[in-house]
Amino acid sequence: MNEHDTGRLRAYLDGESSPEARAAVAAHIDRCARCADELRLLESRAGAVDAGLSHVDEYAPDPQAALARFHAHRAEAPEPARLSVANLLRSIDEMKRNALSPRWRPAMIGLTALLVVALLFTIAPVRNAAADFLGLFRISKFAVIPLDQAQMDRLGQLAQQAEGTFGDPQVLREEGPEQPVSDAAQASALAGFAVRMPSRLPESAVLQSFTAQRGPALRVEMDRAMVEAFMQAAGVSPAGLPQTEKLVADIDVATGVSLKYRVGSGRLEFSQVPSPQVNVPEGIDPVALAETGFMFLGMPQEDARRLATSIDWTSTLVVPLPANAAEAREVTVDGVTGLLLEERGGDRGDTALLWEKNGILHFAAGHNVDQKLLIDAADSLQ
Amino acid sequence: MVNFAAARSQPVPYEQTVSGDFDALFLAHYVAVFRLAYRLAGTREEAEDLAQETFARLHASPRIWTAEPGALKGWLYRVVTNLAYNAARTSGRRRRREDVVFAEAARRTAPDPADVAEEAERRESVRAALLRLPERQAQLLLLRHAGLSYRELAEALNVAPGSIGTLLARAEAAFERSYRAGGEL
Repeated sequence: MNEHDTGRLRAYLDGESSPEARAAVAAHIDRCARCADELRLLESRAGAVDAGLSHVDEYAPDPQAALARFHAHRAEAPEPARLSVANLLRSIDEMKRNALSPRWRPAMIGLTALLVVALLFTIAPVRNAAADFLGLFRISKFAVIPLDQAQMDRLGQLAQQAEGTFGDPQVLREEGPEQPVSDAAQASALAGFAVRMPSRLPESAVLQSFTAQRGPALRVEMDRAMVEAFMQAAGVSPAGLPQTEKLVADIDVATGVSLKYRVGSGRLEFSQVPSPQVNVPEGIDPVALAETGFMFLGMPQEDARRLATSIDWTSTLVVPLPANAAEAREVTVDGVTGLLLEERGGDRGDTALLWEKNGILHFAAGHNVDQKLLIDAADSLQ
Repeated sequence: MVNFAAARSQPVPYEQTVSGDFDALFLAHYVAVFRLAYRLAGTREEAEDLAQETFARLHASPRIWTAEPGALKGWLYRVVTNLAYNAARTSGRRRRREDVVFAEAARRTAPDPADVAEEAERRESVRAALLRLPERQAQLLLLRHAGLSYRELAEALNVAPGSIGTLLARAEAAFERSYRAGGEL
């Protein structure tokens, strides 16, 4: 270390040096006039700054009155249009519950955590060339990141910490009630897109419910400094964040439609929802963020970078999948490439399908139903 | 930076954190938080609002309540200076200094109105000088003045403890220049 080090002198002044450093500085200033002068300058400057900042110290507000005001204000407005992240996760999860078996719920919770936790993993980013200030994220493909239990736990913890750190997202629009609909025309009118029905179903299939539900619109607002601190605390170095002070992400889930059938002792369920729209600040670097995210999950940097670079973040929804509970493979469904999720070692034949067609996300799930039958029914949507 | 590891090591379920805990934290830290806000805010009312907002965030983050005291202070002070700095810089609250000085002088009754005006003017000069600094430098000066140790500063601002001396010396020099540039001293 440079012995004429200003920082060392400054720490010495505050008595914040280690005993050894303190002795070294004391010895040094005895024989170095330049540093002795510097120390005097630092001392007078520190004193002047301290005096300047002390101007408001004599103002003594009344903490009791402030606390009373705090509670009164909270009582007046008891969390009007605010949801906790946990509730948000639950509500988005609820919307998708028809699509995925409850056994895979953790995967979906992880997934929605991604939506919320400042896009640490980033979902499906598509930069809309027309939008100058916002990147527009839309989903058209899926990629599976298999996660072990420890990694799933880390994700869950991360979501909890994020909730503690960033507080609640602002609800711009509440989730709507589940509305029963009588046919595809009525569902389409409510949802604003052409809702499709399966045209091939087993004879024993009985329609149990047909509903439409409007999703919530949420805004997540964070200080960049806090996101950075949060990432640091999670053990990863901040990267990929835009240079703005505030990070604002808007998540808008449009009206979705769900169909449930009973098939003998099993169930078939279909959900359709326009790809949720997520607006994120310009300057988000999804590759760097994803690399950070993968490293958070314990991947060596080299591998994390390779994987982050290999994914087309402009259009891919990353599904974190508990590897011990489920496996995934690509299948052709509804004329496009979709993702088939199968319960690992399950005996009840739980299967789920995810695909995107014409801007609409589709989920189909089968419980205790032959897998071929599920795919066949999904293929027959019209 | 908040020490999440420390906060996690003594998990307290939210239901069990009686509101008395929060109230105690509020009462213990309110004055310091208010003063931090007041150094950057134009008026006492704004500073009070900023302090309220800071505690609203604390209220929404029960996990922070159980962080070790240094980390908790670091979190609170960082949040309030961050809020206050942004509010003062961005949302059109950067009113003319004359207005602020006038408003402060008008709302306070003192034996000698000239003293009050002078004091308000001095306070406003410090505020303006702080706001001309980069946020991190302003934050460092304010948090140090509020009594955080070098270790706590390093944690709150997410820098190496060994660099605090250098950063502080630099920030103080920048403050002095900024204050002079404002036509004072």
